[in-house]
Amino acid sequence: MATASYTPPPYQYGFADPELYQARTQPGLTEEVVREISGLKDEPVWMLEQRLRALKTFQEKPVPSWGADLSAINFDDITYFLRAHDSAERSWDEVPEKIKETFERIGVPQAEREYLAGSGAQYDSESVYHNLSEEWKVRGVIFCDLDTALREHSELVQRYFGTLVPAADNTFAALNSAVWSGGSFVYVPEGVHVTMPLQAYFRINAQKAGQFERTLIIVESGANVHYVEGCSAPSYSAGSLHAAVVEVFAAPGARVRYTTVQNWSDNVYNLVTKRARAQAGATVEWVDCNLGSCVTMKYPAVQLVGEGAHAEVLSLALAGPGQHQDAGSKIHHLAPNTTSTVTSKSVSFGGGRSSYRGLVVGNRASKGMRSRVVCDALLIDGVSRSDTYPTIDIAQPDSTVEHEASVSAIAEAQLSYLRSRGLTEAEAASLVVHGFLEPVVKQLPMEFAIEMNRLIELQMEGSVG
Amino acid sequence: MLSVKELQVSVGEIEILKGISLELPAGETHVIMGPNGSGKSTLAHALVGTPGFSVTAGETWLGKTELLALEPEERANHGLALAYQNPPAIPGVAVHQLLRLARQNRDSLLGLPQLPLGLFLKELRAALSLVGLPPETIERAVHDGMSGGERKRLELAQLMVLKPECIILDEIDSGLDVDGLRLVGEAVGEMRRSNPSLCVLVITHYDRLLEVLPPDRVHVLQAGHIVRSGDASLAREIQKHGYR
Repeated sequence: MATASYTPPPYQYGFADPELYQARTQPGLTEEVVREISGLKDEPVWMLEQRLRALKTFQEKPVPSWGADLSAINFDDITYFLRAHDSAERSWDEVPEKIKETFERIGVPQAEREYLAGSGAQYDSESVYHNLSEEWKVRGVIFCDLDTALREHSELVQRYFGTLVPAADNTFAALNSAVWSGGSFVYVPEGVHVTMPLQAYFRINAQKAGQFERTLIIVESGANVHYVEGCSAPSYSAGSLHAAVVEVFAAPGARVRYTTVQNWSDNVYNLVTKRARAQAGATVEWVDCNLGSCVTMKYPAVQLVGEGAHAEVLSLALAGPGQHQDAGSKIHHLAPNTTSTVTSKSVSFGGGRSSYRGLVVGNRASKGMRSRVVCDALLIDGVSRSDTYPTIDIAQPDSTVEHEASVSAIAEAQLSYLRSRGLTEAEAASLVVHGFLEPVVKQLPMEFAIEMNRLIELQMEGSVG
Repeated sequence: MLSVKELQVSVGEIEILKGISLELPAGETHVIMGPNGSGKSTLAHALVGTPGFSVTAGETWLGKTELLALEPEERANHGLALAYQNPPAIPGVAVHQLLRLARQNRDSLLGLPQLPLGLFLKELRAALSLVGLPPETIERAVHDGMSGGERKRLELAQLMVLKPECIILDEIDSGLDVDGLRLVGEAVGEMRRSNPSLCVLVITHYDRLLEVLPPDRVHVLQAGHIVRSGDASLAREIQKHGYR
C-alpha cells in the first residue's frame, strides 16, 4: 500500500454552541456538587442518599487499568452538571432557538416526523425535548426523560433503578449513580407492540463536560419496543467524559431491541455500562455501533434468567487514527434452554485499535443452553491493531458453546486488487469496509442503515489515501 | 502499444527481474512462457503496480504514457488491466459496485460521459454471458465463494467491461476446463473486435491456451531474463522439449 498520509477525518458534528447555561456546577466532584445536582432537581431524599453512597463507592474504586488507557482523564477538571434549559419541552417550538438549531443540523426533528414513535433530545446534562406520539400515549406507553420519570412515576423508578447495575458494579457505574442526570425512561405495558422506534439523541456541547445519562427501560410481558440512541459532540481538544448507565428489564415473552449509533467526536471518553435482564421466553437485542470517541469501553450485557430467554448482540466498531474501541458483550445463561448469539465486526485503520472483549457464562441451572460468538476483525493497514479477549465460563455439561474469531489479515491484497481495477485508495478502502460490515448494517432499520453507511464513509474519508 | 525497457524488479531484497525488454505493438498478442519462479507473475504485478513489487530500474510505456510514475489506479484508468492468477475474494462487495466505480473512473479519464446505469448493466450482463456466468453474478460478492473456474471467468468479464488498451492474462488457463479455455479465446476476440489496437500479454505454462489465443510472438523468461523470443512455433518446441 502506498504511504497513507493522515489528514484528520472531517467530523461533521464538531460544531459548538456558545456556552450559556442556566446552571452549572464547579469543575470537579465533591459531595457539595452531588448535593447541588440533587437540589437543582428537587429530588426525593432516597435518591440523594443513593447518590451520596455511590459517590463514596466511586471515591473508593480505582480507575480500571485492565482495558483501554484511561490515565489521561482528569476527574477534577470535568464539569459534572450543566443545565441549558429548565424543562423537557414537548414541542420543538418551545426549545431555545440555538439548541433547536443544533438538533436540526443533526436531523433529530426531521427523523421524528418521518419514522419515529417518539423522540427525545438531551443537551449536556438534561433533556430539552421529549415527545411521544398520542397513539402510544393512549396505550399506556411512557417515554420521557428519567428526571421527569422520577417525579411522575417515582414508584416505578424506585422499584427498578440500580437493581441491575448497582453503583458498586464498576467505577463508572458508581460515578454515574452519583451524578446521573437525564437519560430516557421507557415503559411499555403488557402486550403492547410499539411498531416504530423510540429515539433519544444525546449531545455534549460544553468543553470538558461530563454527560451521565441514566436510562431505564421496562417492557412488560409480551410487549415489544425498539429503542435507538444517537450521540455527537463538538471537536474540542480537551477531553469530555460520557459515562452512562442503561438498565433494561424484559418481562416474560417481551422483546426489546436497543440500537446505538455512537458517533462522539474524538475527544470523548465513552465509558458505558449497559445491562439487560431477560425473563422466560424474552428476547433482548443489543445493536451496538461504535464509530466515534477517543476511547470506548462498553460491553452490553444480558442476564438470561428465565427458561428459553434469548440474547442477541451485534457489535460493530470502527477504530481510526487515535481511537481505541474496546467493545464486546457479556452474556449470563442462568436458566434452562437459554440461547445467545454474539456477532462482532471491527475495522481498524490509520493506526486505530479495536478490541473485542467478551464473556459467556453458564451456571448449573442453564441446562440445554446454546451460545455462539463470532468475531471478525478487519485490519486495513499494518499500523492498526485488533485484539480479541474472549472468556467462556460454563459450569453446565449440557451446553453448546461455539466461539469463532478471525482477523482478516491486512486487507492489502484486496485493496491493491481494487486499485488495479482503477479505484482510488480511498474508494477501495471504503468498498472493502462497507462489504465487511454489510452483514451487521443490513440488520439495522433502513433509515439507520443509510445513516450508518454515511457515517462510515465520512469517517474513512481523508483518513485513508 | 506496450513498451518495456530494461525493467528490473525486486521483491523484498531479492531481485526477480534483471532487465526485461519487450515491445508489444498495438493489436498483437504476445506470450510469456517460463518455468516456475522465473518471474512471469512478477512482471505482471510490476506492470500494474502491485505494492511490494519494487521497480529498481527501467521504463514502461503504454502508448505515450510512462506507467511507472503512476499509481496503480491511474495505470488502470489509462487502460492497463490484469486478469489475476489468484484474485482475492471481497466479501460484501457486489460485482456491479466494483465495476461501476472502475468504469466511471476509466471513462472520466478518457473524457467520456458517465454511462447510464441501464447501459452499464446491459454491458456487464453481456460480458458475463459471454464468459458463461449467469446474470445473477452481478449481485454476487466479488470472487466470494466462487470456484477457481468461476473466478477466472469473472476476471475476464471484468476486463471486457473496463474497455482496456492492454490486458495481461496471468495463467488464465489454470483451473479452466476445455470449454473455459474456448471462452477465453472468444472473450479476447470480442475485446479485439471492439478495440483493434488492444495489446494482449499472455502468461502461461502451456501451449494449449495458444490454440485459442494464437500469439504473434513468444518470449521465454528464465531466471529474470528473456532468454529467447520467437513465433508460435517456439511455444510448441518448448512444450515438446521443455525449457532445457
